[in-house]
Order: sequence, then C-alpha cells, then structure tokens
Amino acid sequence: MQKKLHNKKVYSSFSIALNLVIITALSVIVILLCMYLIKYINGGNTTESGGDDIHIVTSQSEETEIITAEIFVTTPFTTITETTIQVPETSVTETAIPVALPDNYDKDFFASSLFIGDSIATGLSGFGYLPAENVFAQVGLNPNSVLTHLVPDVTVPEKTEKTAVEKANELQPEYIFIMLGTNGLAYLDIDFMIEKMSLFIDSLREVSPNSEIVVISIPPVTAVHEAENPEKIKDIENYNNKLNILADNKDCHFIDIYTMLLDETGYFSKDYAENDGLHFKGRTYPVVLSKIQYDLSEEALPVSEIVNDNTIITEIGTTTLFYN
Amino acid sequence: MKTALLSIMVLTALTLTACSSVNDKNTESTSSQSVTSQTGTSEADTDIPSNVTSAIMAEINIPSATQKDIDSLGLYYDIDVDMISSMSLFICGSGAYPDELAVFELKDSKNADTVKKLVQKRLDSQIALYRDYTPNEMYKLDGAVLKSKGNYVYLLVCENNDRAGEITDKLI
Repeated sequence: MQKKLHNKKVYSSFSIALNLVIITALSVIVILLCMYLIKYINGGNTTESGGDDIHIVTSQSEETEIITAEIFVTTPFTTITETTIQVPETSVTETAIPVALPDNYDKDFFASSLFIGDSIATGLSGFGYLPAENVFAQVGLNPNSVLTHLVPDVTVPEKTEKTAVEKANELQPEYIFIMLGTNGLAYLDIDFMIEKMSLFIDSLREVSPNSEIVVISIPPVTAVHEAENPEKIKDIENYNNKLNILADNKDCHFIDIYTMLLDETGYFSKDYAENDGLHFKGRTYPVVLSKIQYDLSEEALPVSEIVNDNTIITEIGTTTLFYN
Repeated sequence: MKTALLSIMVLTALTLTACSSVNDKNTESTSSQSVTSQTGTSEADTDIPSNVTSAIMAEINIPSATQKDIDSLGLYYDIDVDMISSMSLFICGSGAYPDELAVFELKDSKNADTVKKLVQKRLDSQIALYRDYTPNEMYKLDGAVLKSKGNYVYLLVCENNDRAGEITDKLI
C-alpha cells in the first residue's frame, strides 16, 4: 500500500514536471511565432540605422569601369534585404555617395532662418517641416521676379504684400537660404538669372548684413518630366555650376542638394520626386534640411574614401561600412 | 495531462489575441485619413467636415494631401476662427498642384455669406497663381465647387469636382 502511495507520488511529481516542460516549450514557440508574425506584418524589410549588420560586397568590371555593390542587410530576425547599385568608378572617388540619406534635422537649427524660394520651397511649410515664419516663397517666383515681386506675407493677419528683401529686412535672420531658378529655366537665359541672383544677394546683404546667405542648388527633374517639359538636366547642371561660382565670389555658402537627389540614371530619384517629376515628395524635405544643417554645422554627410584598390570605407554616424 | 491541455488552450487564445491587436495597430497606423475622436463614435459621427473630406479622399486622389488645423487657417484663409465650429482643410503640401478641400461648419449660419466671400478670395488668388504656372491643372480650379448650405461653407478643388460635390451633398 505504501509502495503504491509512493509510486503515485513519484508519478504525480513526474507529471507536474512534464507539464511544466511542455508549458515552457509551448511558451517559447508562441513567443517566437508572435515575433515572426509581427515582423511579417510590418513588411519584413525595414532596416533601422545602427541596429543592423550591413555587409557590402563590390566587384569591378574592367570593361565598363563600373563598380557593382551588393548590399546585404541582416536584421535581428535574420531577414535579408539585398540591394544592388552600380556606381561609376569616377564618382566613387570624386563624390560622396551615402547609402542612406539622413533626415533627422533639428527644427531649432532653423529657428532664425528665412527660406526664399518658389513653389518647391512652399512645401517646407506646406508639409509642416518648418513654420510659415521661416518660409517666404511663392509659386512661380524666379531670380528675376524675386527682386520686385510682392508676395503676401501669410504670417501677418492682413497678409501684407512685400518683397523678399523687405521680409529679410524685417526678420534679420541668422541664415537666409535662397533656392531659385527652376522656374526661370523655361524662359530665362541662365547667365541672366545668375546676374539677377547676384543683384539679389547684394540687396539682401545691404538690408541684413549680419545674415549668412546660403545659396542652394536647384534640384533635378525626372526623365519623364524632362521629356515633356522645358526643364532639362544639362541646363540644371549648368545653372548649378554657375550658382556655385557665384556663391564663392559673393562669399556665400553653397549647398548642393542636386547630387544627392539623383538616382543611378542621373535623374531625379522617384523616391524623392513628386508625381510631376519636379517638386518634392514630403519625405524629401527633411533630407534636404538635414543636408543643409550638416553642411553648415561642418558635419559632412558620409564621404567615401578609397583606402586601396579594393576597399572603400564609408562612415554614416557611428556605422562604418566596408566595401570589400 | 489535463493541466497541459488547459495550458495549451490558454496560450493559443493569448497568442491569437496578441497578434490580432498588433494587426489592428498596423492597420490604424497606415491609415492616413482616419478621424480620431477622444470621446468615441458619437463625436466622429457629428464631425461633418472631417467626414466629408474623408469620404472624398476615399474616392478621389488628392496629391500630397496635407491636413491643416485651425491654428494654420490664417495662412490660407482670412476667416475669423471665432466664426468656426469645426473644419477640415487639406491642401497639396508640395505646392505642385492646386488641389484643396476646405469644409467649414460655422457657429452661426448668418456668417455663411461672409465666409463664402473669403473662400472665394482664396480661390481667386489660387487661380491667379496657377494660371501661368500649371495651365494643365487649371481645370481643377475653373471647375471648383464653392457652396454654402445652412451653416456649412465648402470649397472643393480636385480632379473630379463633380463627384466631390455629389459626395458632399449627401453628407451635408
């Protein structure tokens, strides 16, 4: 009898232990399933900077002198995203090609700024990335009309109309950003626009001498836009090159946002271009603002350096990517 | 064994509940036009301006639609905010297109004419801006719907103004 009771007790303990093991195993399986489902529902391909292992393998074609970079991103859930980009060798040595464009600008950095521009600049406040007080822009504004055209100041109740120079005089901002020229390409001579930009910069200097004037390149257009409209990539590049020279001559900053918005075909990337192939998607503005902030803060966007023939190092924040 | 079976059932139920709530959260976060309400469905039902713009955008594309709140109203319309009971305003954030949906519910229908004139002023300035800039888009402005109905005033500028008007007429 006692033996029976003892056996019963042993069996009972064993049963409890077995149940606990089963429950634990099931819990682990359920948790893993949930994690997988959450990852699957979220798309599976999201990568966050700083959190993933990124391995880039390059190979160079001797015939075409093009380096092909295959980027493998391993997430904590072992999902692998692969992107292949082709990079002309010369551009790797001469220009910065960041893998991901930062978009974490600081709104406070632009608190004492005035952006002067055309319809593209209206998106800064249109999308809410900067307050309206920091944006003086209007559809159709160009380097010629900006000197005299009266724009309603939407930040005052009466929407008093004033010129950009008058607005700068009122505000006395720390930075005056100028992005103009896209509109003029269709019907104004490039040298004429540069001449007008020069006069505009002089006028701004006169009324707001302590402001740092920053000339921003105009953006590219998509291939589709170029095919159907007067704005052409070669004219944009020509104008931007001359803007750069002008800024240097006038002791102004020059910020190139054109290059970073290009895709691998040399046109405005669809990731950043509005449907019309000329304006910006909403996500483009924080990227542009970040570029401006980094350049002015002397915190450059990542620059690729060729360490030797086979290795290119690119640093983004604290992440170093090695091209092997 | 009974305990194990019970455990399996409980865990399965918990799993299904957890995954279901995660899925719901993702659905909410990807919806850009949901009307949020702090007080529950009754407030959502009576927020006519939001219902109108939501219904229109469910059928008609408004490119780069960006919602503007009452604090931003003065940037676009010279309307005294004290006249407004509720509103829903969407513009094209990129500036590329003249699309706009503006629906105002007024506190007093006596102000409807005043507000309608101010909305007309906004429409006129947009026409002047876009006429030379994007002639291909002018059909949206030329065919814009601007109406007042009781204590509602609304402006509809989009690729299908007629349909937007029909939707609005059913809700107001």
